[in-house]
Amino acid sequence: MNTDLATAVDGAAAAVADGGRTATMVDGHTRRSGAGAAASFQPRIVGFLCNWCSYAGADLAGTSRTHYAASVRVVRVMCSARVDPTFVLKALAEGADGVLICGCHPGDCHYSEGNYKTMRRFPLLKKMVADLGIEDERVRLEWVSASEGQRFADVVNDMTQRLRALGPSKIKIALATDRAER
Amino acid sequence: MIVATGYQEFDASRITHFGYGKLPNVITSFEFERMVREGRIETAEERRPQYAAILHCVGSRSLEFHAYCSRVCCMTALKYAHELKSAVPGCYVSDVYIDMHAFGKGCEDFYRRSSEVKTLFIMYGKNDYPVIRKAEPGDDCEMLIEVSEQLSGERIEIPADLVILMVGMEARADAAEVARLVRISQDKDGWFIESHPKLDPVATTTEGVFIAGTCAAPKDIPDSVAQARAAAARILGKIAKGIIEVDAVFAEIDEEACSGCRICNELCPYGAIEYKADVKRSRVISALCKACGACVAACPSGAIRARHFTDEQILAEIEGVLA
Repeated sequence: MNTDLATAVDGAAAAVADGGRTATMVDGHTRRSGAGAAASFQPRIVGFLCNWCSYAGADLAGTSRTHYAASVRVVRVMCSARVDPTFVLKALAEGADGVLICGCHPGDCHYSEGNYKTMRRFPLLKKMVADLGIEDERVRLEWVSASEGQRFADVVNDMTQRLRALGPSKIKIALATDRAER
Repeated sequence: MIVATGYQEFDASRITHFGYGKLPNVITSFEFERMVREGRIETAEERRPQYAAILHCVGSRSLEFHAYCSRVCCMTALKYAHELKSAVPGCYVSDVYIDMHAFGKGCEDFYRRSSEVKTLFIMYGKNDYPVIRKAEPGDDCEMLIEVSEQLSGERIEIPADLVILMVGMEARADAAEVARLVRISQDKDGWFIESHPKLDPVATTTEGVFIAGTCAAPKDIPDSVAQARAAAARILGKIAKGIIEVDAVFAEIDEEACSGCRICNELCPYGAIEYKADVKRSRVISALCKACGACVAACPSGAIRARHFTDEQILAEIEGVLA
């Protein structure tokens, strides 16, 4: 597992393990390393998908043979409103580069209003993430219906691209550093 | 519950080239059907039409209106050609179409027989609408239809005393309201979405709600009947059992941990959480719970457990996908 993670984090983390140890320096390093590192870095996204719309949409992307970045790992939940903020923080703490929450479009929720609850909770979550020192673009909320396989693929591709530009998450690098030291 | 709200006909006046609503002898397939039923096929001037034209794909298979095919109109149009020929002997019938969709049992045969009874078939291009205008006083017909004929590549004029517009099917204007009422989804064209397009075409994603007929997509009568009977059978199957089985996925409240704050009471869209005032605790009525988990995520005491989607399970999944 250690080797896996170290490989994923790529040269950036290896350099950090040798040299500096603080998150700021890591951040500085990834920024300096520029386009080369950004292209090779494959972010890991944890996607919380609601059972009725978004999971079916992701399924459609698969059955339609739509190609998209292999960066998202899906956790199925019954409704986006089931996504406890703890889940998002847990995913970030475990080294996810991004967390994607997908639900039905407003007005289309299988449970009538679950997505409205998610919509209300999300800004608070974003703020909390930012307060913890993590870039708030790492958490994203999107509406994907059961007929929008292509949209799901587009969302994942777009998020992957943005995360590449942002570089690996500080927590992930710190985790890798910790493991390398041990 | 079976949703069988049907469809509505496309409003032909939306295509201005056809002059529907302005030219009295341009009628829709529905109006023609009424004429046939009354046994009086005649123009607005109460004359027998010498030239009749049937125009396909009105509102269907177009970029501007509905991209889908309405499925039934081609065969209905051929039927109308037969009706015209038998009711008004000697009437010249032109059938103006884009592609002839003669799918299914016996349809191709019917198409062949129609071509043999001297119906004139004229092909027009998708999104290249024919233009219907009033004829000059010298012409021996009421109207002229200008068509860019696809097979010859020429622009031709067809005489017509009566034009029948084969209006397509569209989702009812109030379909969204129905969808919200019974909690089912609609696709981009407004049709209700089935649970699975191939393997479960009768059920919806809402337990106990079934769909039948043209509220789900354009369909002919045999298909509608088949779907309706399938829906009825599915419901009978449930009733015959004597008990309704619900999914084992629902929420539970640990009464020891519940503080009785009642936050969850307000959140539940199904009113499935009752507050027991005597013990000052909330309780989930499991038969009403649909397992969305909104209350689970919101409980400040962590007292609610979503069966099969517990915090422990999801947290373990997160660890798993990131391992």
